[in-house]
Amino acid sequence: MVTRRSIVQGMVAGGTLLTLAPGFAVAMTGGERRFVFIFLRGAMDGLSAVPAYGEPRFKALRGELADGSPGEGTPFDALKLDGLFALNPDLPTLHKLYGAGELTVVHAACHGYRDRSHFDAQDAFDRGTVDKSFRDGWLNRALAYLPPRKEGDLAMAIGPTPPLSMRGDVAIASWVPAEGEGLDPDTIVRLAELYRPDADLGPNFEKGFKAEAMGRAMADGGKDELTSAQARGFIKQARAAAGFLRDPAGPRVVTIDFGNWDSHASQNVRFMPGQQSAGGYQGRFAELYIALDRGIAALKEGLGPEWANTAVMVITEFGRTVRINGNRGTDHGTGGAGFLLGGAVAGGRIIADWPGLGEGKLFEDRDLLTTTDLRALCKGVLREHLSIADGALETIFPDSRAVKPLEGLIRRRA
Amino acid sequence: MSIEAATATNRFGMGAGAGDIERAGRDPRGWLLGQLEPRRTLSAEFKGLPSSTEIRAAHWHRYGEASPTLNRRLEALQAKGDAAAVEAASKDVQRMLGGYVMWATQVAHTEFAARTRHALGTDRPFEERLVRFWSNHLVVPTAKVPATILVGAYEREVIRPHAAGKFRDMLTASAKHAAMLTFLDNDTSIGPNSPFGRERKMGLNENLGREILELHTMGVDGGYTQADVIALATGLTGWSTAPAILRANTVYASALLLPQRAPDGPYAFAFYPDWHEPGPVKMLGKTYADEGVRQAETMLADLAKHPATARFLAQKFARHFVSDDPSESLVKRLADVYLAHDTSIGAMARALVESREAWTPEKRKLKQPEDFVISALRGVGAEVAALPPYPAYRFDTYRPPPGARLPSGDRVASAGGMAGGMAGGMAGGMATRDPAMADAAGEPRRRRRTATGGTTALVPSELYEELGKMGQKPFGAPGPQGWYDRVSDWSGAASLVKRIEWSAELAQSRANDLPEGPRMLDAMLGGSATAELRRAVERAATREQALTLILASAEFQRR
Repeated sequence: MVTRRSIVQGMVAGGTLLTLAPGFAVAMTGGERRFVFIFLRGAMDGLSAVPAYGEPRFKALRGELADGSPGEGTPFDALKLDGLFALNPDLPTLHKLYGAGELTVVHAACHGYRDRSHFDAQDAFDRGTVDKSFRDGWLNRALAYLPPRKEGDLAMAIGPTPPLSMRGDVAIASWVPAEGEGLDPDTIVRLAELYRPDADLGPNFEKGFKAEAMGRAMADGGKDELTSAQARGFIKQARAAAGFLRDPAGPRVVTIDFGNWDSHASQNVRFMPGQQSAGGYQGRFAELYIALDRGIAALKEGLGPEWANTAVMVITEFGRTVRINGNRGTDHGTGGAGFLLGGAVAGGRIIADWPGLGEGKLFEDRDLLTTTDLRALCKGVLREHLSIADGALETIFPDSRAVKPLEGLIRRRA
Repeated sequence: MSIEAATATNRFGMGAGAGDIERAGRDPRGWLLGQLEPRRTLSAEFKGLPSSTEIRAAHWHRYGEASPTLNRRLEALQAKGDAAAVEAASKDVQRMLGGYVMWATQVAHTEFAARTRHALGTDRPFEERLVRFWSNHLVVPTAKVPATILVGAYEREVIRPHAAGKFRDMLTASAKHAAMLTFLDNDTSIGPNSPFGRERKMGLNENLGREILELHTMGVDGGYTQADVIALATGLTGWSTAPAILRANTVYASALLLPQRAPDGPYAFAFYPDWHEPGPVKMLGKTYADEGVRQAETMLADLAKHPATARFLAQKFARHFVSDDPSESLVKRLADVYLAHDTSIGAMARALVESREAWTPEKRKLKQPEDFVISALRGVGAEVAALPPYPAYRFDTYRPPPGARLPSGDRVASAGGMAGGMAGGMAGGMATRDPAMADAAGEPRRRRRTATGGTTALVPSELYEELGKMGQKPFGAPGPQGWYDRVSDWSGAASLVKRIEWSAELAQSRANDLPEGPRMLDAMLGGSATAELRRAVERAATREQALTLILASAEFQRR
């Protein structure tokens, strides 16, 4: 049986168009920065990820979703960050990173979009502007300001279809875990000829077969007791992402989409009675946090020494209502929480111009008020981590002059 | 060979099998328009499948009867401290949970098999495309219990009857269907000032109201406000199911069961007047008096005929069939026809077929993976095995079919494993990735095909999984917005590689039974094939390779 690997080597030997690793030219200088953008789609509840347990009204407003307050020994006993904030109990890795000064929390944050549609908000974030005439994404526009490569793509989208943030003029790679025997090399060559004239599909054909050959080696199928395929998939993708990023010739910017965060109902469902001993988790939202936490752990482990050069931005399209709804869940809101983490991050702090949850402080009397525009976070990361000049930031995020980049996000390099 | 015949079968249909292009060729437009005439008979593939009320009875059994009973028993035994009895009772709980998950998977696979077999066999492929378009527009995906088990029934009951009918009727049927009501949380949305809301201190869930405005009718730029969302959600309070299960507490076990009243029969739509927020509501500047269920019915009817809705639907419809950015004139014409014919989506489909723009030889759209797979299977005349109608779920008698797969891709070791209780608990313990276990169930791990009358049929659960890898798990849209529909949404390298590899596997599986390359090309793409593809097919080393080149080609991926 012909394996994928031998097919690929055969192709290279045959001198066809599909050249492979070490095909990615080393275009950037040593100690290259890595950037991972994780989009939690569906709107993560910022006040359950990072509960403001020190707020006097927190318990009253959140009802049983406030069970995470530290110090009460409940199953939801949260991990304390300071006198006001804690982390969700299913985020222990993130808590450790915070303690090690490698995680920054951004709270009461959202981007420029102020309605409450998931899809519109996600698109607005991905485009980097609410202006729908833009067809490309902010991250793709940012790629244009990074040193170009002779060969191989600077960026990779993990998942079957690239997110809007990565679409645009700069070509990118994409990858999903592979299986099966694949095609014989002769058919690939013949097909490549047929694909070349197709402007949309041609470039992706070539890229796809390259990435598949590389990725096959990297996605190690770790076992996990998590029940949802999405949660397991995220961990697997994070592990593979680390492999790609660690490769000297691999991408330096990677996006991962992690969906299913829309918690309208039963948000705190966590354990089944009698299940604790079996180690089984029941409850979609607990699983999402656990998967996020383990995925980050896998990323750190897989990156090894390159962790020190890495920044990971974890955001969601908006926060959720402060009050619990009629179904013990939360509805679409505005201000939420996000994370910037990694060895390159100057962390151990919470960035929040905290609006509070007091009477009259909520946005439209329902949402956490947004006091930090997430574009300020993105701009700060692009500027400090990827050394993109201030002028370019206005092109990447149109009409955002008033949104000043956050500063001091990234450690100064020695 | 006429290019228009090929366009009719590929752009408007589900792809051409043997003889399809000839059949469409005499009068491609007439062939399509004929499919808009109502046909009252149900496809044979759907006969015997349970209705949504029958399926919901199983759901009720799981959440309303089995789960609370078993959990109460477990808690009582725990209080008594009888370790052995607790263990036995825990096993029952696990069996109940896991069996339900597996049953839900069986439902999904059976519905997928029926739907796919229908698409492969139908002589009305344009009608089937309309069904799939509207099914994606008013989508209920498998993302969420309890909607998961209803997606097939929802499509059969809400979408199919209205696919060429009035949008108003489809919209109302959708908003009253248990699948939509539970998916978007309206089944437990309660007017805060209603008698029940006051008594239980319960309130509004605006999810369905919002998505109807944003995704089903006016579109996000349609000009409505947050106040309109609240107004519609308020009008919809009390639109629920009988019985309703309030997924209220931190564990399902203590879910609060709402009063069991069933004005329209058990497990169907129910309007609960004492949940309905009293008083008039104002939406888009118009006041709607509180007439109980009529209030939101009137609101939906008004939304269906709103000009913003017409535009939104027309744009989406033209984008699906013609190009990512259809001309303004086409969109306007479709919207006008829709409004002039009392929200008729059949009339809109007719106007599309009669437009010039829809027939450009240039293929500007990309088939989504499921359409691609069906067109390939039609092209080679492949079959998908039929699955028997699934049984009702009773936790103590349900046995999953051996070799059944969970949505996660894990495979059930054997039915015997169920009866003996499950090690490990939860879904992970009921299924196995362990090759030895899979072999024990008599399952070669790859490409098992069952024999049906001399030729071989594909196994539905495997095809289901393959589609997931291509980025389009059947019934698995990413959310209430449905699958995205631009070329760039489906042209990603990873999905493309999967489609190409699958093409090669399909060709390989049929290698012994193939006509000559050019004949296959004529049957599938007719006059629309380019000279380059024709030459490549003529020069292919084997018929199998010729077929791979056709199916995997950019030309076949497009339409």
